[in-house]
Amino acid sequence: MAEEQGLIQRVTALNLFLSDLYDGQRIVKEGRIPEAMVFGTTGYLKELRGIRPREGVYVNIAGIDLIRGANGDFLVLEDNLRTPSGVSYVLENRGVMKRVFPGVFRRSRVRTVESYPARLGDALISVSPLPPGESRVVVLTPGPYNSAYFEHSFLARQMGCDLVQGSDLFVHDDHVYVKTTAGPQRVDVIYRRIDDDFLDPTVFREESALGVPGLIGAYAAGNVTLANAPGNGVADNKAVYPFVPEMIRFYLSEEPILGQVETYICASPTECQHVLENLKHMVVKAVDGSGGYGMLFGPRASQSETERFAEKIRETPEGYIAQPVVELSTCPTWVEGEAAPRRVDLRPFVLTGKKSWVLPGGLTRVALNAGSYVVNSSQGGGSKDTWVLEAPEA
Amino acid sequence: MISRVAGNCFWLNRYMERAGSMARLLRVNRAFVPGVELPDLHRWHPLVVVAGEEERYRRHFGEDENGETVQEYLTWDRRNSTSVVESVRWARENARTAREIVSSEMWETVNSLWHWLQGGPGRRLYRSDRDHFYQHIRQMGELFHGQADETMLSGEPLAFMRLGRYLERAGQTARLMDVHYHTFPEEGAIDDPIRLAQWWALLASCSATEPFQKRSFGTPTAREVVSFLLFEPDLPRSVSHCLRAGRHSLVQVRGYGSNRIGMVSTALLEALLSHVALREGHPIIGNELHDELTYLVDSVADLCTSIEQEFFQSTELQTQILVEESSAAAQQ
Repeated sequence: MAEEQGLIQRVTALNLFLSDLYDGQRIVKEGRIPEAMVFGTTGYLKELRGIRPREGVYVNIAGIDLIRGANGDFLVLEDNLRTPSGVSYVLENRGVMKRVFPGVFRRSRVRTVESYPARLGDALISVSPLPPGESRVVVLTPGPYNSAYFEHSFLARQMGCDLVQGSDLFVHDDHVYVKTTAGPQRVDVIYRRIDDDFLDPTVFREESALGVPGLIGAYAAGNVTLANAPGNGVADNKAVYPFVPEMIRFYLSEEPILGQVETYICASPTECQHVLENLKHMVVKAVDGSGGYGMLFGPRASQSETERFAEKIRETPEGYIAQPVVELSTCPTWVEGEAAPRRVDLRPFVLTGKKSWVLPGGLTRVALNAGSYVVNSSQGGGSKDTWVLEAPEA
Repeated sequence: MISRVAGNCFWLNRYMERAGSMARLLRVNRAFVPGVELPDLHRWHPLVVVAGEEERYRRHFGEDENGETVQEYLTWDRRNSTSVVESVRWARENARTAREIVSSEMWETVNSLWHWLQGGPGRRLYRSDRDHFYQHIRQMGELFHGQADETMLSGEPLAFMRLGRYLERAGQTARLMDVHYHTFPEEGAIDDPIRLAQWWALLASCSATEPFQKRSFGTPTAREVVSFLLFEPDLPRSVSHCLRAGRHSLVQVRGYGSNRIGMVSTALLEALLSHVALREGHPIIGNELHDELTYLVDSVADLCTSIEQEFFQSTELQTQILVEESSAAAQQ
């Protein structure tokens, strides 16, 4: 399937990009990506330069957001390479659908998504510093007040490993241990759902109570695998997004299989001028923003909102990118007793250990309000079970 | 198991025990009060003492010992960390954090009790039928402990739950007795009606009225009641029974773990048990009893602190184990 190959190609290139940035920085030195785009954002963690994760895998879990263009092709809207969430919805939605429509599933040759937790476990353990049989994997959560806590707990239960908080771990002699009632136990792989900034108060945010002092030291010494690797924010921010096709050509000598949305970089004076002149037809996004915040949706914004945003762009052009409004495809959705069109996007998940695997399914996010483009669950978006069918027998 | 999660199990059950025990005490006190002529100060002040809240209560309410104020404070006040509503809140927080360990039945009980207290129904019942209100909380507490025994795998998590339940209960019984100790006559039967009513209230607060009637005949003596509540091995709330049950759980817990963790706690509990064993058959009253009860309350508190340090907040100890292991390996 072209999408599957396209996703793997993209994740492979992004992984190589991260390896390069935290090592020789060839792509910058050869002028294929402007230096300012890479190092001007908050995503690059210079403390981590020279540290190579196991098997060179930075992105163990990727969520690549796709939309469907006017001609039916899938386009990449956004890469999520830090702590992408939502896979528990995929599994729960499927469970509900199977209960409600068992007959449909018997007839339809829908590929299963239930193997995700086991595949995730395989991917994680394949990049452990120790042999699989001797490795301990844990899921690290910020705790029950985090909005994705359910997912953290769900994945830990499904993988059959412990769910830990930062205070459960400690570092001794550059090794990570979990405190148990039977004494300290070594931890080899951490599927962490805590942001980079909070991972290690001795390296990043001092006041972080969520993290583990010394964790980055243990990671640098090669004694623990962090999944995803810290520092990935430099590859999935909106300033670097326009250059992903270039990365694919540079590292893989291939043409990108998946298209993506045309993007204007406000840091470039000519492109910025174009954006400012056409704000009514643009979606402008803050480079470091996420969750649908810090953006301007040109066609819907009032005159004063547009003017205020234009001011912000002129002040810090390097902080913004802009895209022409892309029509999101719609999907029939049951709303107040009848089917109505609602806009959707699709987040497939790509797992990478020694090799990559694409979940045959994904998180379809729905903008539940009529006419809305905002699919983010933090802003009232919904989700749908998504089917990938077996190829018909020849 | 993860140290913190073991702590969640321990505290979940301590808090539920505490909530149930506070509700039982409040209900008994209400029932007993109309029967005798006592000023509010003597009726309700002892409850504030049992809760260990004398100082904070005085800071907020001064000399106001009105029964309504005391009940409100011990049931609803968020500033009082031992109020029923705070105990249930913290029980729920602990259950939520260890959701994958706690059985669904237990979770549903704690969660529904919390929502009942938070929403209208609990408040309304408190106003309209307070005895029924406290009875409901007590019953939910009993349901919860029954569910722990009936729905959990009998492994390490349940052992920590039971450890929390019994140590909390041992402390509660000792504290309850301490509030009434000065009313106990030195010798002979308790014949003063007010004192007798206080005695029965004390027994009722420990769910021990019917058990006591089954074991004693005629007008009780103070020594009989003291002996029953402290030493009766068959009474689920006697100090002695709770400590023995605690030992059973602690032994079980250590069986799962490392030899190094729990040494201090075990030593403390064993010392406490032999202290109690030496006094069995020699019930004491008066100031001596007060000293004894203070000793018991403090010892149980020390034991809980030690369990906290050895099992739950153990970074120092765990690091020490690693250091010892690596130096032992170096010597070989």
